[in-house]
Amino acid sequence: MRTLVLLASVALVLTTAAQATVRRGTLAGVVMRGPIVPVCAIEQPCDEPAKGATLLFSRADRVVGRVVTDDEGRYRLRLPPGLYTVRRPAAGSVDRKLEPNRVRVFAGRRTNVDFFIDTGIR
Amino acid sequence: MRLGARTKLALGAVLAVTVCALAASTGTATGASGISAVPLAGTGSPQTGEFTPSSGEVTADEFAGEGEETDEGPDPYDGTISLSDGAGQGGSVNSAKKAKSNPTFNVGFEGLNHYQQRFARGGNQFSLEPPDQGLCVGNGYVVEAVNDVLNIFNTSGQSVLPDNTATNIVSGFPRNVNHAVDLNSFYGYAPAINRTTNLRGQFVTDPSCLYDAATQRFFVVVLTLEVVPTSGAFTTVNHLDLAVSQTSNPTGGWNIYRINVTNDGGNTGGVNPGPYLGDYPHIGADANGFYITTNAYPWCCNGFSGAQIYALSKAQLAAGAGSVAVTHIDTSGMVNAPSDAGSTQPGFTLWPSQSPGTGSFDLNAGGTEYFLSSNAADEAQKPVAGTAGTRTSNQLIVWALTNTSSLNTASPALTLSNKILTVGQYGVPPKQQQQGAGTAPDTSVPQGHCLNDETTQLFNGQFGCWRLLVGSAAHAAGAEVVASPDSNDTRMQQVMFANGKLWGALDTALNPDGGPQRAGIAWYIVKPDLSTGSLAAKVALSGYLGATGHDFTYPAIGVTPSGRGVMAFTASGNALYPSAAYAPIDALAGVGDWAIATGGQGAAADDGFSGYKQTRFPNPIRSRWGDYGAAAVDGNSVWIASEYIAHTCNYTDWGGPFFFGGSGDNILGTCGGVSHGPGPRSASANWSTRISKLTP
Repeated sequence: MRTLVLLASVALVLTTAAQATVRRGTLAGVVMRGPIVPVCAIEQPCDEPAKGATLLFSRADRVVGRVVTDDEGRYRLRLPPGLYTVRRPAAGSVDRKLEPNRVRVFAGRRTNVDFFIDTGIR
Repeated sequence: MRLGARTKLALGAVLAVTVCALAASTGTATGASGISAVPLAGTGSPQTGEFTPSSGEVTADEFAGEGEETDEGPDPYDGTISLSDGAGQGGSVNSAKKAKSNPTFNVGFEGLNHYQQRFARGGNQFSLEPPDQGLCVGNGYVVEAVNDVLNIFNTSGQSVLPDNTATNIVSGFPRNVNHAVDLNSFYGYAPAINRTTNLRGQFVTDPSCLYDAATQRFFVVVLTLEVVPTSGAFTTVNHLDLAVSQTSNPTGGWNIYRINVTNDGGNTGGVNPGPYLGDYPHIGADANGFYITTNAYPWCCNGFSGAQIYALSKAQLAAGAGSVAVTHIDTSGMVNAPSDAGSTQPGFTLWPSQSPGTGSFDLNAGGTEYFLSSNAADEAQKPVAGTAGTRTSNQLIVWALTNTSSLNTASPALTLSNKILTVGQYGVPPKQQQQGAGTAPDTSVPQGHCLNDETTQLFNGQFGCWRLLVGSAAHAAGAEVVASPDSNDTRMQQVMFANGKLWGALDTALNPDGGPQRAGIAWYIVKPDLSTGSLAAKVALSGYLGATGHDFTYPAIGVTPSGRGVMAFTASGNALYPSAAYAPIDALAGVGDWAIATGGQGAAADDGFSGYKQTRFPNPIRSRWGDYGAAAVDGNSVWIASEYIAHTCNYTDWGGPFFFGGSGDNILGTCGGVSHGPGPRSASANWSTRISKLTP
């Protein structure tokens, strides 16, 4: 029994150490919403930054990261590497009004991902 | 039956022939409403207003952009809706009954196009996508309005407006825009953009048109957004501009009424406060009233604030009254189906019905105006959060606005009710495919080809056509492909009340012959009944229209008083450029075989700026198309209008003198040649509209 406890402790220490050495990746970009007008003109933006938008990043149905955009719609957060589902708080498990709604984070790398929210305005 | 997003359906070719009304519930008017007076705001005419002729730098502002990745838009429904008739022509109802409607082609012509839109009013216009077609016909006139230009034709297709070519100077040369008049002029506004001072006028959008045979008046409605002239920034103030012809001749004077809609909407869930945008206005009329509906979106947030109804006395408008009462109804909370707001949904895109002639109106219940709407959209299912719902539904909502004769009194007293009918499944369609979609643009798709080009020598000795259009940062967004244009969502499209029935259609995902998902059409013929004093309705006939390898989008139905109809739409496909198409419809056989309108075959791929990441940089792309077509009934004929690509324009002609050693128009991309036009397009877009007259 004492041996088992010792082995478990060693395994836990090793696992924790391994996790500690996993290099997180950075995810950054802009969240836009649009169209903001019914018709699109080439000289004018049809979209605008989604300021104050909250994005939730989940793996295995567990929210791992959360970020709120600034007034320019920008966001930045660090996450462990892996594939994430992205949604807004009030959305279901898949936020199909947010594009893209799945992103990959790479260890030790910055990945630029811009998101887009469809307003429905036509 | 409520289906999850992954639910697979396998429906037969015949969807729902004579489905009895399975009324899930009935909603009655509880939405906020109010009555106010709208004064006559002024007069207008289809004559071009004052402007400063554009200089040689007329297009310079357009190409200062700098570029994003995937094509954005609503995800399509991820289930299956099968249509299997084996014919490849998409007939949707297997009926042994002989069709009443057998359309004979009478006349067809190209309506307004992007060249005319861009270079009207001396070029003091924006390049716009999509056109959003309004069409109405009566008294020998065909009135067409798109974003943001208007024309009036005789029934042979010649413009009857004054020829304004001589004074329409753009980049030093008179430009023939086929007499078209910009909508800013028509409504008495400054130019959309003064190309000399860069000052912006009102932002006019979403035109619709209706000819009312009873009053012999034309009605044109737009949504106008107020802007800061120096920056073009939206102030959030917006109004519906309603123009009514002063006589039965639309080339003369018009009376203009402005309905401020800035504060009209439901603060859904308490998190979607105003001000609101009165989006997607559409119009209808019954014996007594003229009706405008909008979709209210909060400027602040991503939720939805309900479809709004504006009801006015048709007689008072026709008479040019100095003040007309408008009854406003907010449909928030009126549909008894669940949403994230609770046990009810707001109405979404209530399309008011039009009726042909003078004798097709429903005079029951003190006069009745009908509307149809659908509820697969996120706006109906998730109005509070503005997130995605199921994007599919099997419900059709029929609305009745009764006692409309009271609109002609000092105290209008209207009642709005609705009934939910069960219909076949429909869901958000995928984007259209067009010939070449997803491949590198060749020289027949000149704007896309230019954006990818690194080797063409320019007039100034530089290499790379892209330099004519975008900056280096935008160009770094990457290679372009031929776009897949928008297919709309599942919102209701044009609605008719004719021969005692309601006729409507919407865009849906469809799996023709059980194959890959495409954009198709779900259509409905509904028999409403107010004989018991409350609204009852049943689906007389319904079905789908789709075809293997094709996409059908933006349907618009016109029906004669005798019940013979034509459904217009854009057809595109794996081997088909966007084309103007139609199919017969009647209440006996449903929708028949589809065909491309004579002269309406697409000549090239959609090559619009909204479909390219470099031209939209740093914003996401959404290849705009539509956002609606139109149909108008005149006597026993149906006039239809759809967006299509009418002209070819090869890369060499598109570049003209902007390419080393080249010749042609001194405005980039018009393909106007050395005679300086008229060209079929601008550098930024190539859409056209097709108008056809059919006798079903």
